Amino acid sequence: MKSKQKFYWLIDLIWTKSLLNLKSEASRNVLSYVWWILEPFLYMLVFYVVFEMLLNRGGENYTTFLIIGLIPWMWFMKSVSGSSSSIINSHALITQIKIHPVIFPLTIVVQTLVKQIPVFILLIGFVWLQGFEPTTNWFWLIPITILELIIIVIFSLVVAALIPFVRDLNYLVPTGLTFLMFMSGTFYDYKNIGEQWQDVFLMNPMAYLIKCYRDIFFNTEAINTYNLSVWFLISITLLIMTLHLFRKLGSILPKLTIQ
Amino acid sequence: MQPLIELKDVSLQYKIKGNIFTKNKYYDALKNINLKIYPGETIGIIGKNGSGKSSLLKILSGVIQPTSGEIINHGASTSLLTIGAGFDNNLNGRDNVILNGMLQGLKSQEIKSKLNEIHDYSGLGDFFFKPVRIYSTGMRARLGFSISIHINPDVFLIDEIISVGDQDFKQKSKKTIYDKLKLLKSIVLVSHSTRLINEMCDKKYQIKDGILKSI
Repeated sequence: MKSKQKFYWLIDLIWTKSLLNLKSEASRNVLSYVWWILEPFLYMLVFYVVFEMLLNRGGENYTTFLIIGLIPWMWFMKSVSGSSSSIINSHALITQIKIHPVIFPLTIVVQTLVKQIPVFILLIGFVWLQGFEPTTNWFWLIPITILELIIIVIFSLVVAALIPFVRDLNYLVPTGLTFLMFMSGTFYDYKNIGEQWQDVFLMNPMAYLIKCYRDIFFNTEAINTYNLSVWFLISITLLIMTLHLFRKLGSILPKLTIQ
Repeated sequence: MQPLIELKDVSLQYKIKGNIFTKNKYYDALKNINLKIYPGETIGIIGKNGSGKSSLLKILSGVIQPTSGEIINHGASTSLLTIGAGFDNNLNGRDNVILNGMLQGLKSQEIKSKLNEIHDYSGLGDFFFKPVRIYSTGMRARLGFSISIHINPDVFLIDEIISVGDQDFKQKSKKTIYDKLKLLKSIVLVSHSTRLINEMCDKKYQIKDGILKSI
């Protein structure tokens, strides 16, 4: 196959596999596709009960604030944790069919993205219902979401490629993600931390993204185009490097999954 | 005639043990294997469990790279036939055919246009539209075999598969294999059954402890 044809075939394969995986996943549960909405809702409920009801820490519009932080976070978390063992879990396939291992984490990314779409629509509807009227500022959601997707792809691919080398890393993924969640201001405002730390804090891509989502929805601060461009530049460079790394690892990874 | 696939001094090692407390231990699955596969050949490889049969097929299909030595593929496509590895148990036969076909290199339209043919050939009837988890081993094998046959590779790599399935399907799959041979497709069949190899193959090898010998 020519490389262009091969590229289309790869996209076609990842898309078909994602949809069939979603179908397979839904067929196992009684509530089927309802879980796409129910699961993020339950997750948010936990934070709501703890911070708003028990600790009374919320303040005005805390629910909305929480949702805007947690939904983009969950998208990231699910993609990365799902991708982490995707290659070793596919050992039966990779060792039978000559296929590039990159499709397994990418399928998880696409699958999670598809599930994320209705959740994002509900998020937008919810924020609107809370009285935050959409402004032209909301158009910034498009580049911010794209940036998050690029960052998700980088993290998912790197984690998926490392785990076949050192399986132990699999234990670190949940802990690492929990740490990152606490470091990203998912349920608190970064402005509450010491001022000297704020710049460092925002170097964490998820902290930066969550700040941007809140600025956009609450219309508090305009997006700084210079900062955003720097983020795009860095992440696209890292993405290219990651894809290059995968090209090289393609023939090594299958053997690692069986030894 | 140029061979489709050539193995030159191929060795394969797996790491079986080794962490910060123990020394690394390796296992030689294949030792200095030389093999040439020409168009239209049926090669039979007899070996017991653990002799390196399946590792050899994995090398031939290009799934695993040898630790040392060289594999030269002169542009031949391969398909490794095993008993439905990689099927998603929750999906029905049809969806699994689409997925498996695409994984083996077909475009979605290509595999979709072959669905009816594959359905007929498999002889699975209504089961084709039921989840694969309720299939028997024989039914999974039929589905796997039917897919690979319709993918039409230059070299079929067959791991025991024909010994599964009922008498009718065995006959049918043998006939298909003979038909493929007429089209100058090559076949590598590994089995522990000497009878099957004698019956079907014109070049015979034995593999023992990773060493391949002509018989």
